[in-house]
Amino acid sequence: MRIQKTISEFIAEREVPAVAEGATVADAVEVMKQHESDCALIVDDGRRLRGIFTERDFLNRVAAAEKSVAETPVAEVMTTEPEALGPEDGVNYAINRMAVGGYRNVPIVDPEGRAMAHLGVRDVMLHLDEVFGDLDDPEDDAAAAEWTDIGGGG
Amino acid sequence: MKLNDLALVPVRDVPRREAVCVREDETLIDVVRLLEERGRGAVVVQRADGTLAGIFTERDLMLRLVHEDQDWHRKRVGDFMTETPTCVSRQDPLAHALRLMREGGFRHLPQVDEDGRPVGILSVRDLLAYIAEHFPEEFVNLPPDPSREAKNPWGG
Repeated sequence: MRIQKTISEFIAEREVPAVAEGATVADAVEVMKQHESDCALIVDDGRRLRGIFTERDFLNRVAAAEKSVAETPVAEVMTTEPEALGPEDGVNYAINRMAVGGYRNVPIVDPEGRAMAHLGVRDVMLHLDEVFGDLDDPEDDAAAAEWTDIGGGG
Repeated sequence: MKLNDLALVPVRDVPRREAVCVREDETLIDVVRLLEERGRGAVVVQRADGTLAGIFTERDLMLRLVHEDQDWHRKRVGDFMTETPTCVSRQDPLAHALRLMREGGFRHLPQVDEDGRPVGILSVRDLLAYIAEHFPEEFVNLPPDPSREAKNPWGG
């Protein structure tokens, strides 16, 4: 299987769905709508990542808890200290977090911890669909072979 | 397992959780509480005769409702669901389900039987978990932190 891409190949030229720590849930939802994103990254004044707020958090911590979207600070209902990855990490780490950890969004931060982007499950699906799509190419034996016979042996 | 064998695995062989089903006239607040209780992000909505009416997800909850007041609590899920959602059947191959999810941006695909009755729901997490399980060297058996991974073939 050829999962050799780095996260940087997926997040180029993508805007961060960022909201400030003092924002309300309504502000975060607005940013998520604008960016057509299923999460918002909560950042401090230096754009360092403080938390993540997802559609699941909205369901469980806002709607089910019957909290006011206009009055509840997003910091109260976000997930704090989410596990982040860096742009040079392999996308297979993000897939691991999603498949094993059950996360649908992985925040991407620079070495100083500043939010750069988020990698979503949709990005991963696109990649896996490409990998599977390559299987249709009859020239591509590498995908079908469990090992490559380089000759030799006896 | 080889990659192209995996692509052909029928949906029925992918382990997944049972679908959470509700009727069209269920109130939204009851649906929300049910989703929270079950730890799920989508419900399958059924007609009175048991056939599939639609799907309602956490994304619909956030995008289709006005949350400024609590008027939405008593509204019917049938008025806010996605009608006639894209579905999979038992024999569809895994690669087909993956493509439907990718093209439509869906995270959940209801699975229906020959009579149009929902018999399950396939989530993107189910698919990823199944793929990862069959390629543990790629996805599961990773060092806990990518920075600890050897960056050159000699390690060190």
